[in-house]
Amino acid sequence: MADEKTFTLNCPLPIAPQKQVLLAHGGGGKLMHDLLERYVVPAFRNPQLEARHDGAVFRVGGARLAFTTDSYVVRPLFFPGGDIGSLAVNGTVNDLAMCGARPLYLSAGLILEEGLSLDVLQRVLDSMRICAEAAKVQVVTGDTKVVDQGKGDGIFINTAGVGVVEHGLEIGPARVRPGDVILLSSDVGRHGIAIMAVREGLEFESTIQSDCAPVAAPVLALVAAGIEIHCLRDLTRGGLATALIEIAETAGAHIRVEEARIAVEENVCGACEILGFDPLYLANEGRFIAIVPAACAERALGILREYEVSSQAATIGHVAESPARLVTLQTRLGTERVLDMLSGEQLPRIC
Amino acid sequence: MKFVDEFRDAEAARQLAAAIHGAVTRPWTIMEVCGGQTHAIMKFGIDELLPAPVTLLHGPGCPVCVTPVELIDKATQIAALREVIFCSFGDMLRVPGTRCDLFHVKANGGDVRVVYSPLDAVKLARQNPAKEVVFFAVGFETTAPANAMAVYQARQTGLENFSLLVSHVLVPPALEAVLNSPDNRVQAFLAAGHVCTVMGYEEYHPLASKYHVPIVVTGFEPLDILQGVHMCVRQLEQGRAEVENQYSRSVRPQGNVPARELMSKVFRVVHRKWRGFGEIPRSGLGLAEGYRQYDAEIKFGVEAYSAAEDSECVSGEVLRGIRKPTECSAFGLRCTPEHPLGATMVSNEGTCAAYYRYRRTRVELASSSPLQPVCRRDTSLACPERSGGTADGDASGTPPEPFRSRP
Amino acid sequence: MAREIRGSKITQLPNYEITKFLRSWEVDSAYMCLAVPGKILSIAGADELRIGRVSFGGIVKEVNLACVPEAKIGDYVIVHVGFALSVVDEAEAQITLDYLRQIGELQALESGGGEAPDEVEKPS
Repeated sequence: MADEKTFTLNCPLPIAPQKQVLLAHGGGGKLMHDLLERYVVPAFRNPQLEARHDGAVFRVGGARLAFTTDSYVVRPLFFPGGDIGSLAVNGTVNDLAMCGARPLYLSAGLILEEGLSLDVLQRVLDSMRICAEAAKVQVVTGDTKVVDQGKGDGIFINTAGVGVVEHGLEIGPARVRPGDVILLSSDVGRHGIAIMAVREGLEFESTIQSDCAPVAAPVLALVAAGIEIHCLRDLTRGGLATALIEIAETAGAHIRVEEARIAVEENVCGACEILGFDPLYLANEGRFIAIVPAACAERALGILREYEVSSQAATIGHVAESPARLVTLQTRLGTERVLDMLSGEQLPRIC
Repeated sequence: MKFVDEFRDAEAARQLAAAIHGAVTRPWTIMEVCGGQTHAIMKFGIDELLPAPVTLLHGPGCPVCVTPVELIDKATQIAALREVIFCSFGDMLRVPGTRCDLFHVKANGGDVRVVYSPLDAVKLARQNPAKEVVFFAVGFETTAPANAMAVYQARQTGLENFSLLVSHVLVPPALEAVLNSPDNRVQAFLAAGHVCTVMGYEEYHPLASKYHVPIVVTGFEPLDILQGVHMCVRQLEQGRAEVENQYSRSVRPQGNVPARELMSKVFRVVHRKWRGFGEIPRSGLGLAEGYRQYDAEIKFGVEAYSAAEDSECVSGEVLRGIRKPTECSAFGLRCTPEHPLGATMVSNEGTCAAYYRYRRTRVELASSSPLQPVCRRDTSLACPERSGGTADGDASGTPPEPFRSRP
Repeated sequence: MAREIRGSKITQLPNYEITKFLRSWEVDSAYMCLAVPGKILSIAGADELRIGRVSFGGIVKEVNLACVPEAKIGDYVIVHVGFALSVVDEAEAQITLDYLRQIGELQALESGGGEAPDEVEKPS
C-alpha cells in the first residue's frame, strides 16, 4: 500500500487550463467544481443534475424516492473514531438524510487491491455492518473487484443508497429565503484533524476522534415535527464554509454567519493554529446545517438537541436581505469578512 | 489557548481602535513587513477597525514572494533528478519559475515532499542513505536558526547526503530598499516580531534615525497589531522616530543569542536577488566556508544559472507599495491565483492574491464569457512543463533593471 | 472611479485600503512566519539535541530547545518550524495587556501636568 508520508499536507494551486487530473480536483473546492461543470454535468445534462444537490429526488409510481452515491478513498483506512467502512455507510446515509429521505437500502461496491490483508477486509466489513444496523439500513446488493497490487490502494468503496421521502417538502438551495436561519448541528473540524493526526503522526493530549456518524434520525425528527425545512447540507469535503458558499451561489443569497457561534473544540483549534488550517474548511462526517424559516428556529433547535449527534445544535447565522451572492463571516472582533471557495484543498483523500 | 486568546479579546481591540481614532489628526502611512501580520490583518479584519487616515501597506514580508525566479528554476532542476528527495515548505510548491514550478515536477514523478521542519529533512536523509535529500531553505531570519541547526546536525553526525538550497533574506536591508525608493510613501514600520525574536532590534536604530521613521517591533495577534499601530501613530503625531518594542513578551533587544551564534557559524551575509527588486547588497544569507559541502547549488552544479523575470509582472513595485495590483496590466486577466505570473499572486499573504479576492465583489463583468488565461511561457524547453495553454509567441521583452539601493 | 479593462469594470480601491469585506484565504501547512506559543510538558537530551514535548492547545509536538537553554517544564515557548525561538515572558505579556491602562495614565499626566510626554517604556 502507498506510503502515507508521500501525501502532501497541502495541495497547491495548479495552473489552468488542465490536461490532467490533479489531486486538487478531488478536493471539493473550485477545481472540482470546474471539473464537474466542464466535463461531468454537460455529459449527462438533465434537470436533476441541475439541482446540484447531494442526492436526486424523483417520483416512481406513487412514491418519492431519493437516490445518491459516494465513493470512499480515505487514507488512512483506520483512524480514531472510524474507518473507511463506517464512512462508506454513514456518508451515503447522510446524503439521503440531506434530501429529507428515510434511508432504506445501500449497495456496496468494493475494489480490493491484491495483497490486502483479509483481516483488514473483515474489520472494514464488520464496521459497515455495525454502522448499517445503527443507521437502520440494509446493504442489499453490491459488487467486488480485485485489481493488481500497486493499482489500488488497499481498498476503495462505493456505496449507493435509496431512501423514501415521506413528506411533501422541496428541500434544496432554491428554497432558501431572506430571513431564514442557519442551524449547525454541532462542533466542526474533528474529522479533518483526526485524519491529519494519523497521517502526520501527530500526538494529542487527548485523541481527537472523527465525528463520523449517521444524522438521519434528527433530520427525520425535524420532518416529522412539521418543521418547514428549506435546505439541508452535510459538511464533508471543504467543510462548513464550502457548503455555505455552494448554497449561497446556487440560491443567489447572501448568508451571514458569526464566528463566535461556530463551535470548535479546543484541541481542534490548537491543531489548526499550529498547522495553519482554517476549521471552517475542514471535512466533517457527522455534521450538517439546516436552513429553516426564523419562526421555526427555536423549535427546530429543541428537536435537534434531543439527539446525541446534534446535542450542541446552535444558530450560527441567517440569510440576509441583500442581493449579493456570497457568504460573509462576522469575526470575533466584529469585523466582516467574505468566505471564499478554496481553489485546491487542504487535505487530499479525506473521505 | 494561552498567550493567544487574550490577545484576541474583542473589547480590548475596540478600545485600542478607539485610542487610535482619538490619536490621529492627519493621514499616516504605515508598512508592515511580515506575511504573518498581513495574514492576521486579513483574517481579523483589523484595518476595518482603523480610522480612514491610517493606511496600512503590506511590504516585502513574504519570503515566498521575494524568492527570485532563478532559485525556483534551480529548485525545479534539482527536484527533477531521480536520486533527489526535494523537501520544502508547502507554499513554495506553486511559485512559478521560468518554465514550471515544483508542483508540476511532483505531478510528473519528481520526489517532492512538503515538510514541517528542516529537521524533518535531516531525518529523511538519515532514513534514505541512497538518496540525496535537499531542503529548500527559504525564509527570513525567523527560519534561519532551524535551518542552521539542520546543517549543523548534519555536519556533527557526518551526514553526507543532505544539502540546502539557500534563499534566506534579511529584513533590515529590505526596509532600507523601500525607504530609498524614489516613490516611497512609508512613514513608519511595524517590524516583524518573530524576526526580531531571533535578531533583536538593535540594528533598527540606525534606520529609524537616518530616515526619521518610527519602527515598532510588533507581534501577530490582533491586539499586538493594533497596539503596534497605536504606538506608531503616537510617535508620528509627536514627531518622534524611535524603535519601540510592542512584542516584549517574546523580543529582547539582543534577540536570541544562542540562535544568532549558531547562525553565524553556519551562515554568512551575502548579496541576494529579490524577486521584483533585483539585487540588494548584503541582504541575504548563504552557507559559510566550512559548510559549503552542504550547499545544493554547488553539489548539483547549478550555481551559474540565471534567469530573467517575467516582464509583465510588476510584483516588485507592488511589494514596495508604489503600485496597486489593479494597476498591473496582467492583473485578473493573465495573472490570477490559478495562473500566477508572480509570487505576490501565488502566496496567500501576497498583495495581489489578497486584492484578487476582495476585487471579486466589485467587478461587474460586462461580457459573459470567462476570462481566459494565456500561458506566456516557452513550452518548447524540455522540462516538466505546465500542461495546456498556448505560447503567446511574443518575446517577453527586456528584463527589469536590477534595483540598486542608494548608498 | 471605475476603469474599463477588456469589458469589465473594476472599481478602483482607494489608496490600498482593504475596505469593508475581507476575503478568506487558503491556508498552507507551514507559514514562514507562523510561530505559536506552546507549553513545555517534558524535556530530554542536551545541547543541540535538547528536545521538548510541547503542547499547543492539546496537540503535542516535539520541539528543538537548543536555543532556549533557560526553558524549563511548564514554560511557554514560541515555536517556529519545530524550533523554539524564545520563552514567553508572562510578566511582559501582562504589561502588554495593560497597555491601554498605562496609556490612560500617561494621558492623564499629560493633560493634567502639561509635562512633556514620556514614551511608553517597554523594559527589555
